[in-house]
Amino acid sequence: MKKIIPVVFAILALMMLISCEYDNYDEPGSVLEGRFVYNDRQVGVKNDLDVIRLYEEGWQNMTPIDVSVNHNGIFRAALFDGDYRLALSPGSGPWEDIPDTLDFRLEGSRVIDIPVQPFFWISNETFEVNGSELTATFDLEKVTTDRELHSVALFVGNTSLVDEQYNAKDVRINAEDINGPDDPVSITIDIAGIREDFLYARIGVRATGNQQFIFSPAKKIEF
Amino acid sequence: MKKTIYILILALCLGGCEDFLDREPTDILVDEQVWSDPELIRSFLANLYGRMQHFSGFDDGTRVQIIDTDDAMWSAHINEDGRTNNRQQYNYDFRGIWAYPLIRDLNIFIENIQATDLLSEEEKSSFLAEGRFLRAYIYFLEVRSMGGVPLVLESYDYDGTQDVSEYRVPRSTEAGIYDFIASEMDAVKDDLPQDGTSRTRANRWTALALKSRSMLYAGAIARYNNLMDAPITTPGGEVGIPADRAEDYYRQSLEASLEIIGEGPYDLYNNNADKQENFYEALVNKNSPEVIWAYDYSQDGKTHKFTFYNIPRSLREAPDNSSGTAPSLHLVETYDYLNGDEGELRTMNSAGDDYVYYDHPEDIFAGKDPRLWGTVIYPGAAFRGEKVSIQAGVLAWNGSSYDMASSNKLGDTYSDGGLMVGLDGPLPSIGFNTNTGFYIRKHLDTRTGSGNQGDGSDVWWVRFRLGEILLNAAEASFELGDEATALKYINRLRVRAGFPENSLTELSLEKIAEERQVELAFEDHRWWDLKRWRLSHVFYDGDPDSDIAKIKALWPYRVVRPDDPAKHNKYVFIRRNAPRFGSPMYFRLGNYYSKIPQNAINANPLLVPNPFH
Repeated sequence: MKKIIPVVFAILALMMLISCEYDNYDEPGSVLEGRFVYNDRQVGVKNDLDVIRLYEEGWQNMTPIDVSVNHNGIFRAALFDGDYRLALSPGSGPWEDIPDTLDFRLEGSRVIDIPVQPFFWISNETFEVNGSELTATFDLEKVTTDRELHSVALFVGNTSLVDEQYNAKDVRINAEDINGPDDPVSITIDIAGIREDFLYARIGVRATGNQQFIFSPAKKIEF
Repeated sequence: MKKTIYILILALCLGGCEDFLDREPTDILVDEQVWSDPELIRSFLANLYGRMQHFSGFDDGTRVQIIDTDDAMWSAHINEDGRTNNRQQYNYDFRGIWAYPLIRDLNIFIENIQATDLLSEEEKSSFLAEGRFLRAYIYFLEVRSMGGVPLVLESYDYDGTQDVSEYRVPRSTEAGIYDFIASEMDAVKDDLPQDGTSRTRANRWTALALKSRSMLYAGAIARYNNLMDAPITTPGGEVGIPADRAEDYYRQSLEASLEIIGEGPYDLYNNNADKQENFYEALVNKNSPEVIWAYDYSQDGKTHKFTFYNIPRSLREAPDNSSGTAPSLHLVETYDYLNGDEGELRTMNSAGDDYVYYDHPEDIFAGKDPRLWGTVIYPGAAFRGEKVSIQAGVLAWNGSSYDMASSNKLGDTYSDGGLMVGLDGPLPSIGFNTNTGFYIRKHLDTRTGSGNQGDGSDVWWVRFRLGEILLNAAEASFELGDEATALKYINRLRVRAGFPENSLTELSLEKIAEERQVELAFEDHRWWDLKRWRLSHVFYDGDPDSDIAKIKALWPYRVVRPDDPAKHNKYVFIRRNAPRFGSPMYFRLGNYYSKIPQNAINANPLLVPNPFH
């Protein structure tokens, strides 16, 4: 009997080793990375924007893989090599719908830029601190013809993750209170009492019939 | 010898097996048994009734859903804040329902009740009508969450030989499901019991109440969806109702409401001369003539834990729970003053440079709509005869301004010996006390012992009541352009609440929405009302500055200022963010129609996904 026990243990130990190899497989090693771009500039959106529908082809069921877009318009997913289809959920992003899907084969990592037509575009933005007031001035360009301006807004926050839901303070101006779209727009916000050393500011613009803001990059303001 | 034994053993095996394997199951009843006994048929029906409660209600898994809206936040265990008070957004499957197993059971019931000969013809037609009512009710819950769903009206059997693709049913249009509900109610209302004595089983009036509510929803979607900048639709009409149908739906709703109001055996509850208590009793008194359809509980073994979860901290009867639902300041201020003033509470003097000083905490609520007392336990109000003790701290005068002092212990006293922090909070650093300064009263059980986990409460969950029907009639009349009739019904409800006659003289959708919010608070209307008016994404816009999307609190403080008797030991109130409520509510356009479960889409490629998903 005593002779058998070590043998049994040896067999058990061996089995554990073998089964380990069989049960485990490598984590997804390939990385899909991409950006939403307009004129080669990244499109700023609300952090965690849910717009991408990524499917792996060849399986019986078509369950989309979760891929969310960060506030700089960048998305990243670790995937297995294989055939994928990427689609965009209509109406979920602040841009013209893109009905086309993108089919691609992933072998190793890959970078995809998705050109979009945002409804509006913010450019030449400048921020100026005057006492306890921060003034943002920017050009507003209407990119597509079928959407009207809903509102513009200036958001400030303690971190670079600033949007309409997470901010320390904001000022929103409805379309009817804004000068014609050809003039530069300026928004002033009182930043007293938020932070002494620095904060982040971000301009947002919204079109009618869409819930999402298009944002300028978050700008660190030091004073 | 050996041979004989083997043969014997074999023979024993064979003999025993036959009987043993043919035994009838002792723990389940098979179809043939159910449909051979009238009592079991009634049990089947009772089982179906027991499965009608989706969303809100009192059952344990759903106890948190009462705080999905701007009416309240969650104030019990701090570990639950992430799930309830700090939602970054509502997921797309939020408040979705895909109840096809239940629909299959309803179809089996409807099919078998027609075939059975164990019941009298009269009973058969009544049971059949009840089954069809319940099925239409579930389709109503489906359509308000999901839009048009597959309309499955028969049970399918599969024995492995059929081609499954034949069983795939595409989604109906959203209007198609609402039309189905209307035609079913028209078809069954004459077969159902006509007297309305039962408040828990279907009858003519529950059928009309379902029609009143569902047609109002359909009318509002037809009207307000099409007024959006970008209406939410699918090309096949699975989502979205054409604008030209609005009037017809509103008219159908109004007709159903008027029949209940005019001919139904219901009346507004008015048994208590104290209007505050009267409104509270209207829902919990089981003799209330107002209740049309309720999900009942009984102390004989079927109770719920709503009181256990929600009773104020100092009144709790079990050490491990309390204080769940904390009503929002926004809800409290939506209740008007009886003299007709808007409901904003007076915390600051007219110049805005000093507080208003009140002798007692409850004085700030004097003159408010009595329904406020009947819905919310506010500072200084009593429950079970005991005044709740809600106080956040003291404001001590230092000669030129106030120093705020608080403690991290409930019931702690200040250096002058007086109370510093109330026994009921608010104290945000610990769980199980109000975070907004308010507790819920509606649905809370006054019976001692009902706050015990084992004992439980038997207060019923009211699904339809005359108060709602009056509001439905008012809204439908208003939408049809008949403001005078709308005012008649809404003012009748306000008179019951305690307002003088004709307290409203003009109406708007905004006012109707407020009236529905205050009358029907915590009865699971707010979420669905905002959705059908397409106001959810406007109110729950994720804006941290919004008083609606971000729950606000009203905290009472005691003033310590011995040199000024007009202010010393008086109470002042400070508005603030509720500290435990982190993320402003953010309703995305894709939340108007919940996500169809992925496994349903995988099994049936004919299902069109909802917009934005």
